[in-house]
Amino acid sequence: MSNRMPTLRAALVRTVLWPALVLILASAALDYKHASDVARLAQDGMIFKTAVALATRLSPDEEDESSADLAEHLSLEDIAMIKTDPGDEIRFLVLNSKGAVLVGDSELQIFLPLLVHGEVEKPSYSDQTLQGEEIRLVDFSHTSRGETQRVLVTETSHKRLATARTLALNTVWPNVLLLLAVMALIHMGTRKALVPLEKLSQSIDQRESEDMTPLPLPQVPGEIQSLVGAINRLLVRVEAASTEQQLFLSSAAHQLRTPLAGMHMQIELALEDAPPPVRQRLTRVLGGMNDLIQCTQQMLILARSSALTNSVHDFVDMDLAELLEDAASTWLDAALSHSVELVFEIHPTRCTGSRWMLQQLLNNLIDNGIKHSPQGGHVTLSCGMDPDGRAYVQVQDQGPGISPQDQAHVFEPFFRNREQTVPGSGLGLTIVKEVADRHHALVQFMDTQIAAGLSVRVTFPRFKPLH
Amino acid sequence: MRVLLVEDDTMLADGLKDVFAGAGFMFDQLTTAESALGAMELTAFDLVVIDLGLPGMDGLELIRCVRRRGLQVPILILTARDGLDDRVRGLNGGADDYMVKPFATRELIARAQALIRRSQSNSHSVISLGSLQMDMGVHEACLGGEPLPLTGREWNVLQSLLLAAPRVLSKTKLADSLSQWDKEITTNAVEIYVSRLRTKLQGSPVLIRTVHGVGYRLELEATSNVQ
Repeated sequence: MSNRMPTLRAALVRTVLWPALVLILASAALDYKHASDVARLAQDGMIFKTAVALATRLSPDEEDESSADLAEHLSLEDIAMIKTDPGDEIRFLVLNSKGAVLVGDSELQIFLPLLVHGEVEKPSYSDQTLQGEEIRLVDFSHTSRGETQRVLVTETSHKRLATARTLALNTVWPNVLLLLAVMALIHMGTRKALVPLEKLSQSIDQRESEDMTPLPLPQVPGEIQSLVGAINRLLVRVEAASTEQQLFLSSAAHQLRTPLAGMHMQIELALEDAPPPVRQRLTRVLGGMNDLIQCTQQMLILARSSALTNSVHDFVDMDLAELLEDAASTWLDAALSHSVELVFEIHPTRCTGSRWMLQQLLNNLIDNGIKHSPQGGHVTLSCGMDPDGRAYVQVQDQGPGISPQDQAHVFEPFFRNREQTVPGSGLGLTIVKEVADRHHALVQFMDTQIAAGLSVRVTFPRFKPLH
Repeated sequence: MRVLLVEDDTMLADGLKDVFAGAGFMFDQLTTAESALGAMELTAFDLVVIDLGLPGMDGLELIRCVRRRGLQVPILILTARDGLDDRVRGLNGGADDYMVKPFATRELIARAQALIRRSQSNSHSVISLGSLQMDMGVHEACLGGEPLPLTGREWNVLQSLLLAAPRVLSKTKLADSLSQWDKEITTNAVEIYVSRLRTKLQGSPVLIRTVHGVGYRLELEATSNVQ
């Protein structure tokens, strides 16, 4: 499978992960704001209470006309109480209606120009900075007996900010953990959901290339069933096309072979009682005829063996030794007419395959061997089981062999090397390779370094009886 | 010897007529299965050569009909289809041998003669290859018209080779056919009989060819030179 396309799992994780992250960040921001508001409200309440306390305690006595020394009204404990807060520093400033400082931190006066003096009895809050620290400020005016005091109370915001942070973190962490858990679940879930798909692809991989039986539908999830259905329809079409091709080949074979047989025979007969000059021409025609016949045969064999998509039923357990013995009868006359001797080294050789196809494989190897061997040469045909328990068949000739640079190409259809003088269709080794492939067998050139001709060995997989 | 050819291709049929006539056969040709069936019931042919791809009733069906009617004539199939299925169906249907077009003329004649020899070996008749004749009835062999004296085992070996020709007969199969229930014949013994037969056949065109690693073939000297 190609890894260029993102996997379903990755796509699913991506589509969920990013939006969820954005949502979590947004919710964290909201949570922070909310926590911040709550903390501010608490702080505001606290400083307002302090302001009210200050304002009410500093109310001048009725009989005291001058409010010159109101500071005395504020006991030291009160001040201590106000100022002792473990986290934050509280400051205050009290002004009379004329704007003169009655008591408190005069530093706070710097804020007066910034503040809009609001209504009496109504606090107004604002955020300010004092000595580089964020502070919260309440500006409160209180009227008692005609006297209006203005009270400023400030508090640093350490505690408030810390509270807001803690509140926000407490809500963000569970969200992040939740997101991670969801991702893990999606990962696991898709893996589990994709198991049938993986099984399906494995079962397709393990099929013989000729197996056209439909894939089982009930074993796959609903979403994949339409895909499997489409594959099955494709299989049906491929099988139909293959059957059609078989029929076509069968009739093509008949249409080609019958006239070829007739022409061949007519030329042979004409040759028998032809005068010498005509005889020469006819011999050439007969030679051409033989080439044409061989080429046609091999093309039909090749087309047929590649079209044999349903050939598995053709496979049987057999002994290659019998096939070689049959080949002795088939090829003896051809060998004699080339003055080549056939030598057999036959051992019992158990193998599973298509008898017809293996016959074609052997025929092409032997034909090559005879044609390329010099007069008086030997073609040695052997079969047996190698030390690993694999069946092999080997054909060795005494011809010129195949150069290493040509070896890579000899299986290509119609490949001929430049020096080749022997007639042939150029399909022989293509058929050998095709048949070997169909049998999961290996074609090797043995000992080609040695000048003693070509040795081709076909090694089959370890024998496993069919039944 | 009388041969019937059932073939609808005129060029091939015309050629086969000359080939069979040249080999000393009497030759008849028909183009349809139906007419061939009628002819076979009227005339005793020694061999019928049938093309599988006939118009109308096809060759396979014809073979089945012939066998259903109890006719024992040897049948050689000619076909343009080379698949094993066709071959198996043909032979299971009752044919005796099978050749795929296009074929070597010499091989066709050799196979035709072999089929006739085998069918006659069942009856008490004479089977022959070139100048070699073996009379199955009286167990007497002749070479070039002269009596050929053979021992029992030599007769068996020569008969097996003659019936197998033009095919190569493996040494083990020869040994098996000679072995009786009380005596096992080794392949070495087979070699001895073959060598004795060679001596007796010397000077005649009939020879026993060794195929190294497989066995022997009985053939006429000329076959190795004919192209």
